[in-house]
Amino acid sequence: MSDDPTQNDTQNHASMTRGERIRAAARTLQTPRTASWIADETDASVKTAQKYLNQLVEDNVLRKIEQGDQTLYCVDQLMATYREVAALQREHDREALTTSLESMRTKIRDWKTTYDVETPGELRASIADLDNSEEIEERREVASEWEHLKERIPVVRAALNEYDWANERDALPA
Amino acid sequence: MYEGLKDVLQRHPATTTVAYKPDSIVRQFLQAEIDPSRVVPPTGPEPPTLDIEWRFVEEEPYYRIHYADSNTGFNCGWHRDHDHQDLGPVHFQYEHPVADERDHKPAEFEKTLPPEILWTALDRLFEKKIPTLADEG
Repeated sequence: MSDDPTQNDTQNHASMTRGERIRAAARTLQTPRTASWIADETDASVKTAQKYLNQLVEDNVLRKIEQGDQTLYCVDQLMATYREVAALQREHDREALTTSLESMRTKIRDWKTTYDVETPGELRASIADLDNSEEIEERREVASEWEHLKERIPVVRAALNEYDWANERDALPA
Repeated sequence: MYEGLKDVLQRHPATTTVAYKPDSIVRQFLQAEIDPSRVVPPTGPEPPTLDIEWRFVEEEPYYRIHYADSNTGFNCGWHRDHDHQDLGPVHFQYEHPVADERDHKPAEFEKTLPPEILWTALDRLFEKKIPTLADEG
């Protein structure tokens, strides 16, 4: 079977409106991009893209960066992280967050001992000395999970740090 | 990152539920359940699953868009990782245990943003890949 010739992609995104498509795409903008680049990526006009991007800036989902004569947009990482923290505080009790945090930390401690490395990068580097494909795959998967947990632990910790304070604010008025 | 991808999955006609795995605290990847009656060739009784994992390491994207049908063992998907560097940055892989077929091929996506790549992958998956590769015939 042939690989995937891009010209044959149907781009059948019928279940999403233009606005929804731009909003979904914009929420994953890791690198600052122009409205024109985002319009091209989402098959929209620049004017339409700008309209939705500016709405997302108003909503603190995106940041607008002026760079020379260019306007760039990217995810507002601080606000995105706060929303994640708030979601954890609202959806989970303190015990569940504590248990999960401990389990993530234990996993990392065990990997450090098992593979005799301090970081996922070191674990990836250790693959170069291996021949066994199963062992290589296992280390790649562990490194990948480790990288994810390293990013996730501070978010869960932040949710726990101000858990009671957040809970008070989240209480519905009597 | 995952909220935009979750939107795409929830809006796709073939998906019934979308959840974070291993749970909504750790959020390592998204898993959608697929309605077996929306798949060609038909499958069941268990709903096939679609895993979406997306990470950035120093702005370099790594992802896995992987479909698995536990009824037949057929599974396939697009991976952007270092597992098959001879095939380029992205490869498509499939495995059909019943027909004893498996393969890895280079693949590419014209788009860059994760939700756009996911849309394209879903179109290819349900319109081309599963109908062509999952048949036991």
